[in-house]
Amino acid sequence: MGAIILATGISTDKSVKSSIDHAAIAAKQCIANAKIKAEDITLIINNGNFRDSNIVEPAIALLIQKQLGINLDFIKANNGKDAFGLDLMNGGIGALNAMKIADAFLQSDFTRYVLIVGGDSHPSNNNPADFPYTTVGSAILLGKNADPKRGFQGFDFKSEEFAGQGRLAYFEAKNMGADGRNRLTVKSAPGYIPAALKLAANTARSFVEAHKIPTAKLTLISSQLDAAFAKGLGKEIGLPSAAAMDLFSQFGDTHSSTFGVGYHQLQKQGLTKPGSQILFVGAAAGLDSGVAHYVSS
Amino acid sequence: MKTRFESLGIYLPEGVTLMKDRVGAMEVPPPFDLEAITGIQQVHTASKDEDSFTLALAAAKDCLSRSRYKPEDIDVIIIGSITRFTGGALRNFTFEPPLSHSIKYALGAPQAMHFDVSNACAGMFTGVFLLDRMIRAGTVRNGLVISGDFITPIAETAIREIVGATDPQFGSMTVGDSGAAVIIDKAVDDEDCIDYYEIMSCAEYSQLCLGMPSDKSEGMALYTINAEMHKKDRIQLWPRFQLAYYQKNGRHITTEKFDHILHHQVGSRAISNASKYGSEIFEAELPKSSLSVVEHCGNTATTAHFVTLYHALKDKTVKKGDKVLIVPAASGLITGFLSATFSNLKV
Repeated sequence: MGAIILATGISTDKSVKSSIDHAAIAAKQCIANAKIKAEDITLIINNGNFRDSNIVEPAIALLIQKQLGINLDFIKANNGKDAFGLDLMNGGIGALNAMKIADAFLQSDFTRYVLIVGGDSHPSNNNPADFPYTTVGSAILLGKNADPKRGFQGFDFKSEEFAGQGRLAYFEAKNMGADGRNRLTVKSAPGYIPAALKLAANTARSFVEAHKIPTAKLTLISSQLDAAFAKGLGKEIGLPSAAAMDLFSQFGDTHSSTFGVGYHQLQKQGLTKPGSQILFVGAAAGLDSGVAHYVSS
Repeated sequence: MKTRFESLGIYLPEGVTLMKDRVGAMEVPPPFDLEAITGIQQVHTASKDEDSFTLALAAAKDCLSRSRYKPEDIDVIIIGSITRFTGGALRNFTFEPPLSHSIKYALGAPQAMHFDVSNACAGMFTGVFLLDRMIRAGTVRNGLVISGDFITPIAETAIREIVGATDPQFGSMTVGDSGAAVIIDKAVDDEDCIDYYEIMSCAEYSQLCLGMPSDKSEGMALYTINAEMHKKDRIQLWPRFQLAYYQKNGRHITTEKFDHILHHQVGSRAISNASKYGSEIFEAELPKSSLSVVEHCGNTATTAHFVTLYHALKDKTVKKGDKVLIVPAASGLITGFLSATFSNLKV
């Protein structure tokens, strides 16, 4: 292991409606905070799920890459620099999958920096009341660290089957008329959030036990499916009551941006000093869960 | 360390639509011969009960049926479809949860880490790229990349909405439905491996091809500014990228001794132009054997290279020990190169 978080950025301005714009604003802030050359970023992973106008091609990551101006044309730039962007979709835990991928790329020197961006908007960009997610953006820049005791120490992912898959989000292509660019249906099954909490807690608890991670000083950055989720999850994992970051009261459910927003807030509070122990725990429809252990550098 | 294509499976729906019938159904027929330009005589079309998920599942089962791995041995499952239709005739375009969650349970691989990727026609290549690097890094042992692209709904929209010879929906007339799946694992020797694989997105051109619901009628649509998308400069991003790699690594196309080249199956003329423009940059001939099934399958989007490779292995165009230069291409604009040698891949 050894991938470390070099910088973060978030975009929370309510006047911004587009998930692409939010992600790009967050990414620009993140790159500026990292004080690196953007052209040295060679892997861009967007883990947002919900897209402006229900765009399904190209990858949203590439529309973000364009706004960032990162290695846009290999021939015209004529500097030998290239980048690859992709969308990784896995509900609220896609960022954890992206971190595991980034860790592999960085460990093996396939790349110098990996940029992970998140952001979800209702396709209409109008934020209707039945859209359960807050439209914000986040960005995390990962780089390599020589010290194996710093950075990401391990990951685990576990799933289970659940009635109605917990939550389904789709647009009905056979019942959308000419308004498909503005349509989205989100259906939550009864008992989804408690079941997602239980699965995530089990995944995290068994991970913590298996890796003998001391819980006394852990900070928990988790999915925030409702106002009580983070605190309840922390309790189920067996963490001290102050360990769980409450992001919901300030931001609501920021879904694909949650881990970026959480780490950014932690940094602002001065709680990412070298050696700080962080547990990222995600819960998502499916049901799916993921956990990552991170030690600040 | 290198990786390899350990197993390959495909699924083509039984239904077939002839290009002449598709063109004949257009409300405003084109002033040119689409079949002659594209070389596409027919495409496969899914039945009303099929969708992206069922196409993907059928291909994955086919792939696993010839693999040395059982579902419970798979570390990672990645779905790379453009289309995300579930619910059969309902055509629910699903964003959450990922299709990979349902498919791993349908296959009996609940232990696998899973996620979907979306990257236009390079969705499967994106999955292969991530797995190639993760396996080489030693963080996973193997993985299954799957796509089910129920893509012909965009043709239905194009048939209704195309109004002129330069309409941005003409590309939609070339697509066919399919599924494909590959298992990637660690290579055991150089006779059967992915020798090298690089891919990039030149996002300057990310707005030249957009897929989204139509705002004119009910249906999914794809809008491509063809004159810009298929410009020589755009096509030559690939050989320039590959040439730069060779210059850095002391290689040359002539010493690579490729037996075949495999382009994206967008149409016979486009395939031939890609090799021609590539030769100009390499200042060398590219393999005369350009693998293609475009005549009978059309452009099957994310699965196109894999459907073609399957047929080339099946009819023994690709023989034991043959080396193939595979060139991904997709909206975004994505291009790259993958050098693979095939010795043990059974279809």
